[in-house]
Amino acid sequence: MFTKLLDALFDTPNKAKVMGVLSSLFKLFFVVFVVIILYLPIFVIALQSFNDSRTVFNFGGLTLKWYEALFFAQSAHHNTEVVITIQNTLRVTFISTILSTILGTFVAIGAHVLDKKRRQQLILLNNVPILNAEIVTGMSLMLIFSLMLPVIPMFFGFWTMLIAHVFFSIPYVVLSVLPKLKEIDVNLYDAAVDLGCTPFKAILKVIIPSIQAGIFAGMLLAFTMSIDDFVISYFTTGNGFENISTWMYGVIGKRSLSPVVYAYNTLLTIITLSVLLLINLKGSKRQKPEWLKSKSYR
Amino acid sequence: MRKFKSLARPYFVWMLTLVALPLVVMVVLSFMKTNGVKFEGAYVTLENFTRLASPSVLVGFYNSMKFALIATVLSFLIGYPIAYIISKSNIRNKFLVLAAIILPMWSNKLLRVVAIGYALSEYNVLRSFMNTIGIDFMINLKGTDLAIVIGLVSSYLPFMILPIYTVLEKIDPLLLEASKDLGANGFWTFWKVVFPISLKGVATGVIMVFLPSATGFAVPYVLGNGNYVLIGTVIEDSFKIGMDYNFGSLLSLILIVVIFGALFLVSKVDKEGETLL
Amino acid sequence: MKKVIALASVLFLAAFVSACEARTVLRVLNWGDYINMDLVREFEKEHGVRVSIEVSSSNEFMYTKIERGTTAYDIAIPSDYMIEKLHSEGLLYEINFAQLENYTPDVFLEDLEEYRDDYFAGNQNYAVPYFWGTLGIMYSTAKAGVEAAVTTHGWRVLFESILLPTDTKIGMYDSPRDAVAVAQLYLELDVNSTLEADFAQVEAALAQQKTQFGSARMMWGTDELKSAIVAKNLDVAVVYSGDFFDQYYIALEEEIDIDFNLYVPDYTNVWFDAMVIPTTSKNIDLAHLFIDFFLDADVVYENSSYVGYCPAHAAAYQLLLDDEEMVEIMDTYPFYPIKDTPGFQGVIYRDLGSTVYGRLADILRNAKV
Repeated sequence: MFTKLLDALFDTPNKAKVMGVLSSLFKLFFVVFVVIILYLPIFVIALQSFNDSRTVFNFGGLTLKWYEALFFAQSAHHNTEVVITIQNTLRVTFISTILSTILGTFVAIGAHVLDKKRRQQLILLNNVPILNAEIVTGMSLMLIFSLMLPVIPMFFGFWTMLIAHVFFSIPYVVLSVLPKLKEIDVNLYDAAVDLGCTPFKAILKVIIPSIQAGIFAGMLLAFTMSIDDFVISYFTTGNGFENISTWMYGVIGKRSLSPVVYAYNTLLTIITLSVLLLINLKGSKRQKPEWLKSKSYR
Repeated sequence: MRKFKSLARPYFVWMLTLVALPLVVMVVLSFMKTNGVKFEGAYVTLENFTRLASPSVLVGFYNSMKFALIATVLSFLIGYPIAYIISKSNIRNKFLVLAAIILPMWSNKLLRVVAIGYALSEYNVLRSFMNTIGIDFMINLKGTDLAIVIGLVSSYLPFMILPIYTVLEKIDPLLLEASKDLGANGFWTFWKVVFPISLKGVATGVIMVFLPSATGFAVPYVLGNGNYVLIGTVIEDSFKIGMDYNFGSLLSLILIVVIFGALFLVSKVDKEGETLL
Repeated sequence: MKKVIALASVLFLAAFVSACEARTVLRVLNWGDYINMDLVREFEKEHGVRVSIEVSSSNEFMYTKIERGTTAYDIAIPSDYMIEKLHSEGLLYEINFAQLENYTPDVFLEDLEEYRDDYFAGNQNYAVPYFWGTLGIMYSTAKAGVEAAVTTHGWRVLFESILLPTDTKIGMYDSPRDAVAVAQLYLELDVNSTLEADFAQVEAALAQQKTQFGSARMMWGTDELKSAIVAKNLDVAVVYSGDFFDQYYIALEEEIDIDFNLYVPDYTNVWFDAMVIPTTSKNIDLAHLFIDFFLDADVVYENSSYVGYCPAHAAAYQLLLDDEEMVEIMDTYPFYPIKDTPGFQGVIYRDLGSTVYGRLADILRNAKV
C-alpha cells in the first residue's frame, strides 16, 4: 500500500494530482485554522448567551432567559445597568456615524477642490487620528476636555464621548470619499449648474449619487470603529456614562457582569450577518442575467 | 465647484484644536509637575524625563514591542496566504467571504478578548459545554505570553487580511499571463510579480496590526492575568493613580514621535502616499 | 430616498432628545458588587430619581476620580485611610447628622465605635460607616494540601512556593496599598510604615514572589480573584473577607459545590468603608437621603445578605444573628473577629501622604517587571 503511494508520488502525471490534492488539503486546513482563530471568541460569547448558569466556568443548560432580559423589563434577570449601557452605546454610535458621514462628505468635497498644497496639509491632519495610537488620541482629547471643565462643569459623559467618536470617525469618511471624488467626471457639477440647478442642489442631486459607494463605505467604517471603541471612550467618558466596552472593562470577573451583554452581542452579530446576506442576495440577483448572457456567447 | 473650498476650512480649525493643541498642552505638561490640569502649586521640572529610565518603563517598551512584533509577524504569516487563497479562488461570492472575515469585528472588542480568556482558562464554559457532549478538552494558557499573542492575532488579523486582499484583487490578470508567457513558473510569477505589487497592502496591514498591538492595554491585562507591564498599562496607570498627567503626557509624546517617525520613513519609500488606501 | 432621510432625521433627533435626563441623577462611586441593586431600585422609586453607580477597584483610583472633578459624585464609599486623605485635602462636605432620621449616636456596633473614635477622630462628621472587614486568604479546598498549608502558614504561602503543593496558582490584589500591605504583613512590618528600608524589603519580597511563582502561576486582579478561585482557575488568593460570602451566596444560588474557604491570619488588616459626600456633589440633600436610606436596619440587613460583608450597623448585625441560617453560616465561617478575639491583631491603614502613594504605585509596577 505504502509502496504504491511512493510510486504514485514519483510518477510524473500522478505527481501533479497528488500535489493538487495536498495543496487543497493544506488550503482547507489553513482556512479552518483561520476560521477557528476568528470565530472561537464569537462562539464562546454565543455559548455564554444561552448558558443557564451565570458563572463563566459552568455550562448549566440552554436557555433564552438572557435574551428575554434584554428586551423585557419585567423579566427576573433584567439588568437596568446593562440595558442603559447598551442604549448609550447605540445612541453614541448612531449619532456619531450620521454626523461624521455628513460632515466627512462635505469636508471631502471641500478638500477635493482645494489647491494641491492645502489639500495635502488637510490630508496630513486628517490621517493623524487614524494612525495615532488610540491611547494617545484618548489622552489628548481628555486633556482638552479637562481644560474646558471650568467653563462647562458637566461636560464629561455623553457629549465628550460623542465629540470624541465624531473626531475619529470623520477621517475614515474623508478617506473613503476623496478617492471617489477623484474618479468622477469634473464637468458633472458644471453641467448641472448650467442646466439650472442651484449649487447646493447640484451637489445633492449629481455629485453625491455618483460618490455614494464611497459615502456608504465611509459610513460603514465609521460605524464599525465607533460601535466597538474602547480606549478612546475610556478616556473621554465621565459622569457615569458608559458604553459597552468601558462598562465591560469595569465588570470583568464581577457578579455585575450580566450575561445579558452576551445576548446583546450575539444578537448584534446575527443581525449584521443577516443584513450582509440580504445585501448580497439583492446584489447577486442583478448580476445573474449578465452572467447568463456571457455564457451564451460560448 | 470651486466655491465649496470653504467647506474644508472649518475642518482645519477643528483638527488643529483637537490634534495640534493637545500636542502643545502635552509638551507643556511634560516639563512640569502639575496637579492634573490644575496649575496651582505647579513647577517646572525635568523629573518626568528621569523617570523614563525606570525599569518599569523600559520593560514596558520592550514588552510592547515584543508582543506587537510577534503578533504582526504571525498575522502576516497567516493573513497573506489567506488573502492569496481567497483572491485566487474561483468562489463566486467573494463578498461573502470578506464579510465572514469582517463579521467578528462587529462584536465588541473587549467581549471577544474576555471570551478568548475563558477559552484559554483551565475551567471554562466551553470545556463544561463540551463535557456535556462527552469530550474533555482544554488549553490552559491564560496568563502566558502565548495567550496574549493569540488574543492580539485574533483581534487584528482581519486588519491584515483585508488590505492585502484588496491589493491582490486589483492586480491585472494580464500581468500574470505575460509572466507565464515569458517562461516563469507559478513560484517565480508570485515572487517577482505578485509579491512586490502586494507589498503596499502588506505595509498597510502591518501598520494596522502593529500600532494597536503595541499601544493597547486591554488585551494584555485580561489575557496576561495582570502580570505584564506594557507601555499602554504605564500610561493608563499614570492616568488612574495620582493624576500623573505629566508623565503620561511625556510617554504619549514619545509614542507620537516613534509612530510618526516610522511612518515618515515609510512614506519616503512609498512616494505615492497611497499606503493607507 | 427622501423617506429614508426623513426617517433617519426623526431617529436622529429622538436619539438626541433621549440623551437629556428628565429625573435628577444621584452619582455614587462604589466598589464592585458592593451594593444590592434591588435596594437601589427601591430608593429610586421612593424618591423619583435615578441612581448612577460608578465602580472603582482601588482607593487610589477613587481618589483620582473624585479629585479630577470630571464627574460630580454625590456619594463615594472609600476606605478609612482614603477618607482621612480626602478630608485633609478638603474634598468632603460635612455630613449634617441632624438630617439623618435613622441615625442615633449608638447606631453602630460597639466594637466598631471604639475603632471609629480611635480612628475616625476628627472624621466622624464626614463619614458614615458602611461595611467593615478584614483582609484574608481565600483558597480552594479541591486541591490537596492547600488548606493545610494556608491555615498553618498564613501569608507565608504567598511568598514561599515550597510551602504549597506544586503547580498551585496564587492571586495577588492589584492595588498599590493592598499589594504592599500583604508583603508587609508577611514580613511582619508595620503597615503604616513610610521607612525606605521597609519598602526595600517589600520590593525584595515581591521580586522573590515573582521568581518563585512566575507569571504562569500568578494573577494580579481585584474582583476577578474571588471568582477565579471558585472556578478553580486559582488555588489561593488575597481577598477581602466579604468576598467569600459574595461567592458563597452565588454558589448557593447556582447550586455549585462549596469547595472554597477563607482563612483570616491573626496579623492582618482591618478596614472600614464609609459613605462620604465629596465637594463635587450637586445634590447634597438627596445624598443625605441616600445615606439615611442605608441606615435603616432592614435595608442594611438585606444589603449585607447580598453583598456578603459584615455591616457596621448594630441593629442590622442583630438581625443577622436572629437569622438562624446566617448564624449557622457565621459559626461555620467565623470571619468577623471582633477586637477581643485572642491572638487577633488587626491593624488599620492610615493616610501616608501623597508622595508615599507614588512610591507604593512604583513598587507595585516594579513587582510585575
